Amino acid sequence: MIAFLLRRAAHTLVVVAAVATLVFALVHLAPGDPFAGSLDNPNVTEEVRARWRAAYGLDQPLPVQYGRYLSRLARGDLGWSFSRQQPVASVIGEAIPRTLLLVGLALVLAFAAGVALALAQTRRRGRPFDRVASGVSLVLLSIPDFWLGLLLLLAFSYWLPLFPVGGMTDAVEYPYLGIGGRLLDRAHHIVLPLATLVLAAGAVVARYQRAALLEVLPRDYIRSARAKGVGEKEVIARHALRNALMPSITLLGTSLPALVGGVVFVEKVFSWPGMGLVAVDAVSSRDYPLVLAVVIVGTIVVAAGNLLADVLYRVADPRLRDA
Amino acid sequence: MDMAPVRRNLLAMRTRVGHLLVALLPVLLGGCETQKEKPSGPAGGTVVIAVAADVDALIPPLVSSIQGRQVTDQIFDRLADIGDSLNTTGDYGFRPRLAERWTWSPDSLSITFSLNPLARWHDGRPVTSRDVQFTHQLFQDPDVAAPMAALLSNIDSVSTPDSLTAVFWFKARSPRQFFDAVYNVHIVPEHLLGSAPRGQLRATPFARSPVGSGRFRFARWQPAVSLEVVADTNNYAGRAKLDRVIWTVSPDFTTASTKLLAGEADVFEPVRPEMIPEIRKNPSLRLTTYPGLDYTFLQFNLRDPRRRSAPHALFGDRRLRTALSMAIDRESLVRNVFDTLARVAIGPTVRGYVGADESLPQIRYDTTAANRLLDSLGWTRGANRMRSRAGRPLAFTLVTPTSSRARGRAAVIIQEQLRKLGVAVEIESLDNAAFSTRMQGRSFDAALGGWHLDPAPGIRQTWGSAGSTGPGGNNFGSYESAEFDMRVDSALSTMDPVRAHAWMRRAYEVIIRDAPAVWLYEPLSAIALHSRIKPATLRRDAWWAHLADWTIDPAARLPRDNIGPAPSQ
Repeated sequence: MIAFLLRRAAHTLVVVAAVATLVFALVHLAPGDPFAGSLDNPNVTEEVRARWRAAYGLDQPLPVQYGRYLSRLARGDLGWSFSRQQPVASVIGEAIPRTLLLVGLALVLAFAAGVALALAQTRRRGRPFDRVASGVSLVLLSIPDFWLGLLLLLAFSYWLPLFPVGGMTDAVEYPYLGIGGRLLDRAHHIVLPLATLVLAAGAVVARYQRAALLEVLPRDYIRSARAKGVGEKEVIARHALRNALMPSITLLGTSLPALVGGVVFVEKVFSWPGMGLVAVDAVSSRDYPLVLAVVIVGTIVVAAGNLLADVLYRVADPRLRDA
Repeated sequence: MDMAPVRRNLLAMRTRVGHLLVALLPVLLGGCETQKEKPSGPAGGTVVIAVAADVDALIPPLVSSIQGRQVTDQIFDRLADIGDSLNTTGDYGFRPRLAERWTWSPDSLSITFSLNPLARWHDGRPVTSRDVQFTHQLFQDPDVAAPMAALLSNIDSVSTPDSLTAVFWFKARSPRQFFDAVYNVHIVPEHLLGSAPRGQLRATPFARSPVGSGRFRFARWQPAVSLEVVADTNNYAGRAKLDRVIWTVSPDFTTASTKLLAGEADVFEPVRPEMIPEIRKNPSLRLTTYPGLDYTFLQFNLRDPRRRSAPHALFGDRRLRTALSMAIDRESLVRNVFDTLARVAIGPTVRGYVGADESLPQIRYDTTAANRLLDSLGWTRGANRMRSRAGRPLAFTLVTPTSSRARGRAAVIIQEQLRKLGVAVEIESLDNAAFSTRMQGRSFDAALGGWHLDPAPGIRQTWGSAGSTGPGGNNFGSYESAEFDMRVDSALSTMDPVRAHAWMRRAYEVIIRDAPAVWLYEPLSAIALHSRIKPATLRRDAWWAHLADWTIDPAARLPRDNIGPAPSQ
């Protein structure tokens, strides 16, 4: 297992380096630069913009900029964010925990809810509950994340104002709350973005899991279990579910990148100051160092998701352990 | 089902829960920072401003965004503030701020500012003339690359005969030399920035936690989340009438506007037309409009984008530009895009300027004359009703930034109106950075551009020949007219306001006649406010200018208004 993990880590390093190089070239080739904005202000002249570019070395040839970037990266320096006006490492350091909180909770809840729904549907397969749940999950997985987020925002922040409109905390009251109050405030603010991600990801899990369970149920060992008098609940929960979990484990690996992608829009809609919001800002403002850092972190997260899925495969299926 | 009563009840409930949290948790859980001081009189309250973007910088020489100006205008002071009339000639209307008085030298080549001896930085140190001198050096230092540096080029130096006197020496007399000295320059503390490397100002602790002398002091900033300033209770210019102002950032327009509609924010600007019905039916909100300083235009590139020395194959011809101008129904465009929140532009200027001239002659909407003119130029209609000449179709690409929904909608209307004239327009929507790059590279046929103006028009840079070919020029369409330049130069160098106005009118007549652009619309500034707020005058160049004098009706205060001033004070 250790050799396997080391091999995967080496692969991940190669992938990160390749992706960073590709993205470096792409963002620099895209039209515009970090200082091309401010165009509505006639006082910001081309001369001023040229000075800004020179100050950050953007007037140098691309290979020189790339060389400097690699040199800084090797020293652990991710550079300076033009748009946030602080070191990129600080921006990422502040944003990652916020996104991990959101995505981590979403992943756990989405899988728990998805598997639970699939189990409930399997036990009532073909009945109205199953049909309605299938319909709802189909609708939920068809709706883009940002649209679902906007709908929830309008429904539960404006029409029925139960939750705050956005942000991680209350902009006014939070600094004046005690620890308990702050926790409650944060919990209050996370509900809608979390619900958006859970509904979107949970619907996918439910559909996959239901299909996998239905595929397993006609198998001989299930029939044998029933013949031995095992109750239906236990048949599904103990015998069918474990064998039907493989597609969901695969999904876990692919859900992480999907959630990381989806969180970009959800964070924007709910002003959640995590990596998604950083990514949107960085791309729209052509903040090259920040874009690169976001891509590197994203690549690592995706690689980690795949690695996690592979490890879980080996845990769930003993036949793979020696492969 | 009418959800309004339910919504109101739930809103009240949510608010009550929030208030209960604020009131009880300190007692139940401890560790809460409570504020005991109660402001006397009408002072007090919290204003929450919903914005779609964070500040770009908090050190005045580095600020170029609107959000950055909103905040630095509260934390820092100028020597004098422009009056609400926005007069920029001489010192008429300017009000003392850090300088309690000033005197002109007999030859008008220097102005002596006497600083208010009571003025203090928020760390308690006195504001001195050395701070003023240092600030000007900072603004003009090439390493700092201050956006406003070019506007200060007429200031030769600043001398400091004593700690409370700063003398500005000018290279030449100019009607706007007082404006140049004070309007774009917030004074910053030398004792905190003097030793910072000029090219690294953004990396200093000051950039994250600025210390000014304004009526609000910096409290906290969570980048991309929120920024808070609180009343400087001992300020020499008087305590701000609000306790605090908070800017809360929501990059998504819907989210930002929903914060206002849901009662989480008190101020939102700019309001889009589609928000108006929601604002009008919400009794706790009110909409205020006033003339702004923005105008938008359809800009023609008069030079070939691929070979700058040659005129543009289409727009090098003034008669063609005139025909296109005549074919665009600007009244209908403004009504469709803005409803009542904009007016047809009168030229490369705005009605909000002192002495703005609404009687400027315009190229009238006349499709018959436009068709006739194009026919006379040899652009004839083919079988598909579209025009061509010698096998070349009358077609061009119109670039527009995706960041402006209004411009996107205007582009579609223009496309349709010109199609009826037999002109094919292809719309190319670009994100802001790409749009800016195309404009700066003069790599476009036509573009929907816009300018946000200062009280002093920068028309030389935007429409003069110097801005077309000179360094730093923002005349992206390369309109060049010696007649226009001469009239603008005469207007900007004339001390007599009446003659200056007359020269400027003649300059506008020339550029409108030459049609380097179709002057489309001038949006009204529309701001939505919570009805408990009583704003002071909303100045046309900066609605936030008198934020320190805004008040909140004591009888209508929300719990967030009762937090009090900053605990640290």
